[in-house]
Amino acid sequence: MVALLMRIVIVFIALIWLGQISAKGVYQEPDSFISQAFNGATPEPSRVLLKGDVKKQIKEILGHRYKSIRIPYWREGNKTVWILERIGKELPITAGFVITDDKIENFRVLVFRESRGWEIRNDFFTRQFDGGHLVKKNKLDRKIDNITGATLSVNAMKKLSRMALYLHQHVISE
Amino acid sequence: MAKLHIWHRYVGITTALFVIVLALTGLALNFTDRLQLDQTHLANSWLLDHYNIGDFPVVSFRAGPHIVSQASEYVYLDGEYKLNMLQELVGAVELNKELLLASDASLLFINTDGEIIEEIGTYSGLPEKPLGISITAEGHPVIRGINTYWKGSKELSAWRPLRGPHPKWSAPISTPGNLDTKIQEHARGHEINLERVFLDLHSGRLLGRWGQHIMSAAAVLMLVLAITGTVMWWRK
Repeated sequence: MVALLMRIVIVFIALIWLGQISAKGVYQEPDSFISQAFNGATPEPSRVLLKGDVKKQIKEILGHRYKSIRIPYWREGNKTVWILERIGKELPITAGFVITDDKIENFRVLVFRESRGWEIRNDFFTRQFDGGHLVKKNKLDRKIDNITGATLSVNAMKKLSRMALYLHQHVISE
Repeated sequence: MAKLHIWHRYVGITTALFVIVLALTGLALNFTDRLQLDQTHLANSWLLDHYNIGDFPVVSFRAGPHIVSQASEYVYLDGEYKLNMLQELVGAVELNKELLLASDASLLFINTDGEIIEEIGTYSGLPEKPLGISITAEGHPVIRGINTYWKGSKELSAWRPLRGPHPKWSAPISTPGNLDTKIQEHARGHEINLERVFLDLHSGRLLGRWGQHIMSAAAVLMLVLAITGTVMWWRK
């Protein structure tokens, strides 16, 4: 009985340890994400300047200024790719968005540096964003389910998805 | 029964202080974000010494008229804190009156207010992770790669292998004493936040191994209280 209990405890500790190892890290290099979005033929990056109304709208979406004034993006026709960052709790999370015809075609968490909230990298979470688009007041058209213990990371990703969609609309309409 | 009652009273009074500490810190930790515990830093020198937070190595580079320094994850311009950078600063140059900082992962183009104009990584056009940085007489940035030196356009959008004489790389300078003191004060003062102190108070770690033992003993006493309380209620 004691031996069985010991085994259960060891397996439990090992699972926690493995979970911690896989928690932080680079899940996909941004270059690889961009290249995949364009089937290997990555176009030259363009840059959008956050000023005037764009700056104001981004501030409204995020609740604060974005970390940089100029943001690179990649475009081919009605498709754009964005690599954006936002702090979840303490450290920045890097996310990649592919937007086609004003809708999210693909979203991935590329680099996760925080010690908690890494569950957002899973498909069951990112899949919720597929086909997402902006409605009134630059809100997402759908409700994204929260993950217990990862609220800040979830919120950060919801905001970045709105930002990517807004920036896509802006550069396409220019 | 009377004996149990006496035991219950004594255990109760012994654990009272611990219950208060655990309840208050637990409550505060449950509202970490709302109370911004992780954003509130403590610069108390006793606490810093207690946590063994010593001096940080400060690395500085001259960039035009400015001195750019890094200590821990903080970047300073002329001793003033400007931004956080997780990567290691390997050089800095002045470019069009703004500053171009090279880290071991990317380039950070910032203005003198510390606002990031753009971060340029290998995915957004940088040919390699920089090992060093320089600026040509014509004002073109040059980054040092493993086997190649790359000359950038002034807009930082295109990079080509550098031909011609080797550039003079941005090299670390010794940080002036007054700046060093100011930087140390800031960096040390931002290492510990209230969330960590409350967590350590909650677990007893604030007082080291003995603190943990005391909190564990208090937890056992609380179990005793729960048991004796239930037994007394049952028998009544």
